[in-house]
Amino acid sequence: MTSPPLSGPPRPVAADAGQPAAGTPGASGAPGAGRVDERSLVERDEDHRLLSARLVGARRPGRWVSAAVVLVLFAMLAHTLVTNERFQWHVVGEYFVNGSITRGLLLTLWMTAAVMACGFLLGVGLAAMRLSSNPVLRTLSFGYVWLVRSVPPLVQLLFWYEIASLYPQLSLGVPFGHEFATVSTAHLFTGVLAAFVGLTVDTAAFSAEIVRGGILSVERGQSEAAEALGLGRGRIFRRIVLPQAMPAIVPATGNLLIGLLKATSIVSVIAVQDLLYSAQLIYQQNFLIMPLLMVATLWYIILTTLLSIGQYFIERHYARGKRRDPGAGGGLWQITRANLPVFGRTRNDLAGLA
Amino acid sequence: MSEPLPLVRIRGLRKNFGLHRVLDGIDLDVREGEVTVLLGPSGSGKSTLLRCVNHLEKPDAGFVEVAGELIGYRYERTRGHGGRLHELRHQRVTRQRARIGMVFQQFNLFGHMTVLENIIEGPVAAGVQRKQAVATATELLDRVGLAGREGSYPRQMSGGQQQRVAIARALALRPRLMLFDEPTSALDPELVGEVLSVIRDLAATGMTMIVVTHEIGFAREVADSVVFLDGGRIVESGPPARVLTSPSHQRARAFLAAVL
Repeated sequence: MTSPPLSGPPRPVAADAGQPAAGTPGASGAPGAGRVDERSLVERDEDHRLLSARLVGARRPGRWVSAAVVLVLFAMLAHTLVTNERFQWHVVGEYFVNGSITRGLLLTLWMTAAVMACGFLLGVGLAAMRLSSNPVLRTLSFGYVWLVRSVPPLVQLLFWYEIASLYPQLSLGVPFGHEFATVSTAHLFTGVLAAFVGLTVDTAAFSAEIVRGGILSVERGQSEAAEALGLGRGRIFRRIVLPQAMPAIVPATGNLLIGLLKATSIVSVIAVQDLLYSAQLIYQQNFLIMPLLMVATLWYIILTTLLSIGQYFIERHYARGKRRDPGAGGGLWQITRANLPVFGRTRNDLAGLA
Repeated sequence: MSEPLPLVRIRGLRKNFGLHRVLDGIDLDVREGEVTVLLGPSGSGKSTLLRCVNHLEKPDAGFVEVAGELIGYRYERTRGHGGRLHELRHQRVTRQRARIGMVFQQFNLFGHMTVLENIIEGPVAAGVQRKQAVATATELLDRVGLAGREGSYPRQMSGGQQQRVAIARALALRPRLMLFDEPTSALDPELVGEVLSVIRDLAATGMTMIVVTHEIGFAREVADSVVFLDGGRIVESGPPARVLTSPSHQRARAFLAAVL
């Protein structure tokens, strides 16, 4: 019997139908050849025919019906995308790499990167605080996450944008005492900084929860063994706990990052010229609303796709030591292909099995 | 002439988990080069006692001394009687632990590191040159019968092999004392032998060891001293020939009758 490949869709048909064949000691071998027991096996007339029969998978008409339905729907979508002239694809093409759109795209990109980097680092710190033995730090971290998660990001963004109305001036100095430097808040908190701060504060809270969950997924014995080896606390966290928490952290963080990439579009409400707002500025002048929204949409799709691919490779990196066979796993394409449902595949595999 | 100071001295050790008293006044000496086996029913406090020796558990009263040094605390004499035991800073405890090797029931190898990385992690953290640490690791792997397995990940090995790597990892710090916490309890029966044989070889080199185990045969053969715990107290201790053959305490007799 061949063992099933590591990846690929489950094939219950093969397992079920293979049972009678697997139960006998080899289809071609003489029955009972290797038996120590002296009692003879009870034979029936049809045994011989059963052993030489070809395995046929169960019919699955539902698959063909659902495939047909999906195919039709997909054809309709493709048809309307091509034939509906109001999409104005030539306009989309025209504006796709337009200067203003590109500048907006760059802002979206660096805003996402900066917010993610700062937010995640803050989140790691918050998670470490939450899990520390110091009750002050624990409470502080808990309070932060509670407060930030309770406020919608759009509200936070507006809050930071309007912070000047609460504190017209910000100063650096001794608490309740001398001030060394003072700056006008409105001057400091421009749209871009307000957007950065608001999104970072939000991302930190969510990262903290992701990291905390990841750390808790690492067995207690790992840090105990590290303690017994005389490793310091910082080293245990960096070298032992965090790397093993990563398999749990990476997928959730990838999700967060993709969410953040798109969430940056809310900065358009405080007039920060990101990808979406740049598109809006253009269509407010020429009223080509749909084509310009398509430009922004296509860019978001492209970026999300790139991030997903990156996530795949990071996940694979942190799967080290998880697989029994380090060589297996295959490339991105092999994995993708193995997961594509292919009709008739079941029967081919069965043929190979028999 | 007085006796040399035992390597490990435990006096008046108490530990509570909530309202439950796990250790209730343990006094124990372990002499240099000797193997002490802790026996007793589950919940009798064997593992907790072992974990107090390298301060993985903080005792509530009493003290542990290894090589004449208090573990986890610093004594300060004050006027009047008594004085104070100040808890040591984490860094100091860390340094004390580096000289005490420990092997766990569940192996606790670092799953994301290769065998080699597992073994050199402790020495490198302690400031040993990487090259030196690798040389030591290679030598130790050979000693536990796993030469050439440097690049394997723990998940690719059997339980017995993993536990032998864990022993090599603990030895890499050149400890003066080895603690074994039920090293064979998580193993399939046919893998117990290979681990016990490594521990036996280690005992033959004169390593001081405290071993929690249920392997009575191993205790009889290797132990210099067997300590029987029940309800957080030592109810019987002495050479294996006596404690294992004709225990005087009724609890010890009942336990041995059940496991043999």
